[in-house]
Amino acid sequence: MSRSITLGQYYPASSVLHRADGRMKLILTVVFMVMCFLCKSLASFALLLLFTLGLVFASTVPLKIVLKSVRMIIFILIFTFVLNIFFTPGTGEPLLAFWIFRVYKDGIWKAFFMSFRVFCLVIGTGLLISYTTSPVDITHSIESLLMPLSKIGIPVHSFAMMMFIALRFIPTLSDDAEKIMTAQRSRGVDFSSGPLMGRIRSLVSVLIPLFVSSFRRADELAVAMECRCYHGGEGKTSLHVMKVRFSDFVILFVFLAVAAGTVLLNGIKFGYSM
Amino acid sequence: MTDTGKTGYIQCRNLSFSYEPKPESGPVKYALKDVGLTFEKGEFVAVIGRNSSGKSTLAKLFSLIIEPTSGELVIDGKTVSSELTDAEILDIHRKVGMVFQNPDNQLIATVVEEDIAFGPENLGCPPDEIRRRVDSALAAVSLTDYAGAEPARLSGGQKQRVAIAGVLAMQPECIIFDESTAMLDPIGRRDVMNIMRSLKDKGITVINITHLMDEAARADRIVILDGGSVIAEGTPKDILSDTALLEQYGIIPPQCTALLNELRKKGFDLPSGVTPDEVADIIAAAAGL
Repeated sequence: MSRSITLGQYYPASSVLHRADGRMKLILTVVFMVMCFLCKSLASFALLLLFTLGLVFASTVPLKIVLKSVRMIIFILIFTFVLNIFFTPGTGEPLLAFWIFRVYKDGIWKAFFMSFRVFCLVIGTGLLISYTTSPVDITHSIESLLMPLSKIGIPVHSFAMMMFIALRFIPTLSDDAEKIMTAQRSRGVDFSSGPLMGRIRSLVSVLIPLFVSSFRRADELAVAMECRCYHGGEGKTSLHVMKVRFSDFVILFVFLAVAAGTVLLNGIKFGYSM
Repeated sequence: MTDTGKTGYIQCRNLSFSYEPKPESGPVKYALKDVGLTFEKGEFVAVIGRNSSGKSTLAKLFSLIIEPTSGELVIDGKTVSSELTDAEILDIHRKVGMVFQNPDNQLIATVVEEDIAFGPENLGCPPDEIRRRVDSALAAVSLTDYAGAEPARLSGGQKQRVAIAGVLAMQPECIIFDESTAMLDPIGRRDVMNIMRSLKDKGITVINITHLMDEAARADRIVILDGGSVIAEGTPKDILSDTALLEQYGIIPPQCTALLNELRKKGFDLPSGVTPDEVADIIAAAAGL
């Protein structure tokens, strides 16, 4: 009955990036994003590309899978490119001019840089988070990073628990949905043909039973959790202790060094720089 | 029945519970009415009865999910009331574990060992202690090889064994099975039953709430509930051979006992037995083997 449902894009392996502490990876993602926006010259973009390729290599995730995530944003890439080509004010003679559009050399460079930036951003953050960190680890890491907020009364543990349980129940509820759909089909509901509105309406006959069953599950789960001594996050320990290891700091250092490198390379005004 | 002079591990006197608030007039509808029962430490008891007989209400009362409407409930020397402190409630939750019917609704984590760790984590055990408890609980339900598996990929019987391990990791003194085998296939059911036996052998009080007489036959003692009251209690042999009693309360005897009954009707003079082994011996002896 239960199929494998891969949440997000987690690619199980045991690379350096997989083994790195989840919290560190969240921080590194921020560093990486900043790095992408620090790049302003051809030289620094070259470094960024090299570094991103290095990340792909270090994660042991096949390049084909990584490029899949780029496919999803291809429209955004094209949009960014076109927008920048046509709407970058430039100096000197326009290369191309028609109606209200003027294409300058600056515009082409900038369009190229901006799309490239988004491209690296998606691959880099994907590698650091979705591909190498399991959803459960992400939840734990976010909880751990946000823990200081609980001091000012934000129920961090409860939110993390909610997220955790939501993840846990996705396969269960999808099984439920499938069973209900089969049951309704046997009663003559048609989900796959007919006008679109009719098909959408027929989904109501799945959603309502699904709601009812998930509420019942929630109720039973709450009782089961209470019976297993759950009483919120207070005093709760963990089987797996998150520990920031020396290697995590090495990775952080590499990231910071590359970030510094991009800033330095911004000084090389070869080609074009923003 | 009520006061035997002994103090059991779980003891109820005149225990009543109603799901509805007291009505303005007319009688109160009770799910349980004036129940007097004693469960000794280390005992293996089956609670049987038809639907809405109050079996599950009893389980909920014992695990403090609901509070008695009236009467007295004592668990390991502590009287259950609204005056219990949080720490005392937590302690009873730890001592009295529950295994529910639907394994999908009681597993919390996405990895087997993390699920089993949930109880000890809540109790605030240090990580190495949790690890020890998880490993021994996994061994007790023979799922050591599945520590890293996803519960969603396990069979019903395996999931239910994970649920049992989750309770075991809290090192309970009593485990209540609330129709835990109802959703399992015969093999899963047999595995869970074998674990119940082994728990009893470890000195854990086991209360099995069930519809299935074959399961009840394997307990040390049977309690029959009907309409919220205790109708009878006794050894499986006494209870399950009492054809008149079973018929009156809509309980179908185990198949092997039914076979003996039929043979008796045919004029064979046979003693009573409730488990397949016993019945096989009886028939073999009668046939002169």
